[in-house]
Amino acid sequence: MTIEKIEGCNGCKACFDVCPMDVIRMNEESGLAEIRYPQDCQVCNLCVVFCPVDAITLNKEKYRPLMTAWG
Amino acid sequence: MGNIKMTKISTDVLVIGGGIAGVFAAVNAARQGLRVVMVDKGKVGLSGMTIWADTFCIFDEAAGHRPEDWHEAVSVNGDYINNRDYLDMMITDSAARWQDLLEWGAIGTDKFGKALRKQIRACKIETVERTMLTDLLIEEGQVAGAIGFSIDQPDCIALAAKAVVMCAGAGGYRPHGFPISNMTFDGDGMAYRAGLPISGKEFSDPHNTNAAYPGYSWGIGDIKWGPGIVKTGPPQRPKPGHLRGLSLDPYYQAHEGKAPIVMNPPMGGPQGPYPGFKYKADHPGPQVMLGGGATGMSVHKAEGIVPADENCGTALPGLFAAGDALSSMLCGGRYSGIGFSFAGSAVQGFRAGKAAADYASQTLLIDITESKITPLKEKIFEPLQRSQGFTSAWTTQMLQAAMFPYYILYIKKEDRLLGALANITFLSEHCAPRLFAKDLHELRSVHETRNMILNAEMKLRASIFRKESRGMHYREDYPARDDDQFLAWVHVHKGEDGAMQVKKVPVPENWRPSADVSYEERYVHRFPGEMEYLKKIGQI
Repeated sequence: MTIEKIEGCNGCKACFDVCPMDVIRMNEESGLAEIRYPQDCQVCNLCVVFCPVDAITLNKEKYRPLMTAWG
Repeated sequence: MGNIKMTKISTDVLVIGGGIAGVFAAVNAARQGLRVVMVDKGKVGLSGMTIWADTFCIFDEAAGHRPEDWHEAVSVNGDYINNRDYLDMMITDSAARWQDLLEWGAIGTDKFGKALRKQIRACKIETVERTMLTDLLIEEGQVAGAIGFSIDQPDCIALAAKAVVMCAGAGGYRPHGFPISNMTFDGDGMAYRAGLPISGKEFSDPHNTNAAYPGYSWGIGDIKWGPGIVKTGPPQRPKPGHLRGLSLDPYYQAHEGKAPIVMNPPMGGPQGPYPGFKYKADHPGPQVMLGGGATGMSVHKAEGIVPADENCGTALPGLFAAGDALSSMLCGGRYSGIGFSFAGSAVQGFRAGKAAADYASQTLLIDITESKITPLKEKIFEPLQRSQGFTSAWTTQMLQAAMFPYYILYIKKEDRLLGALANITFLSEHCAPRLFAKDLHELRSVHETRNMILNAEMKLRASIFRKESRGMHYREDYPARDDDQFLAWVHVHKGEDGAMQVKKVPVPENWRPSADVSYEERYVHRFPGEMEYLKKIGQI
């Protein structure tokens, strides 16, 4: 599972303020929350629980980057 | 380094980590009238493993709990390497900490983190958030503060403090399930680099999860916020064939070639399905088990900084530790009962906060010398100067590949442990110094990856050293307890030459099981091959 989308954000920053992992940042131009580092989502659901307008969706897929031979 | 700001903060007590241990430490230190600063990589009160908590075990005299029953249950379950002093602390204090949480409005809500944050503000505790600390500062043989960086702007942050409480929790290697991804053994890393002994690393916690819901653990998963925190009853003495706490059984089955192992879908926590619970309908029937979602994490309260006393003090004057950052061995080698982790952290945090405040009240603030800060600042930001090398994401994947398989940390054998250690040593010596970061977010990942690699080495060396099986440490090549050699804790520390040293420290004589009790009665839980092995070596 991972964070999938933010739709209908009102820019209140609640999700940014509760994310322990720095997955969400506020877009400087739009003033709205955006998913910046989805690979770090640990599915704690805090953003979903604290969002006052139910804008955040988690999906059932865990973000798993492919393993490669070198980095 | 010219574009990197330097921020200096002075305080009486610095609390590192904002989980439940940190919250109680900060609140109690502030109650003593001292200035308290809390630092967290994310957000205080919404941090570490605390966001996954759902149970709180209290000692309830009115319900007929007796200290001797608790000691018996925990000692038998923990294979006699539990620390009885820290269980006494829990027996004495747990009901009061539950009462605190009730008064703070943290019980009966799905947003208890909010209540914890409200309490932090009410106590006028200053918070420095989205800031990762990397090193303890030591002056004149005592702790003088800590140093780290902000993940939002290029800012090196040095905190001078009279006392420091380490509440940075335990960790995992960014597991896919039971996601505790912001926990990367940072406290153990900081303490180890400062020369302190670390213990409890060989006991592995499974926290099994399933394929459909990798976030699910113990039936709580991502609807865990429903019931909030609930009170749980006393630890039970295990009966033969039935274990309280977490079990290695799925790993034994997998090892016998019986994979895939399945587990039932989430059921909504100890209070049953939460209203709105819909997973059962989505995914009826058993799901494929992923194995230990928390791979890398030890039994709660096992791994961490070795306590130097019965009150959360450590070998470094002025440094205190609590919760999963302290090797309090509250449960010993195996988890004791539902609710021990959260309650144990709350109890220890509260005591550590008082002890730190008492220490700070009798100490003068030490000036942190520039000669200490400058090289650490350079070291912290150095991955940003590099444009090539290894990414923390890739290095973490390699670390996972070395440490995740069940046959490394769960079903152990010397040759496999040595093989894994060779991999980890390579990552440590070759990759860790060459990690690079494109931005401050990645800089946090770089420092986390380094802490995870260091911790992996501790786990492997401790596991190789303990040539027996005990608690959640199962050695195929030594599948039985060896009371003569290993009624002891395994300590690792950084030697004078920089190499990791391992030694054992015996459990106090009066905490050991009576020699009059037979082996089978002393140890209720059977490891695969245990009795055959004991017969073979002539022990029974």
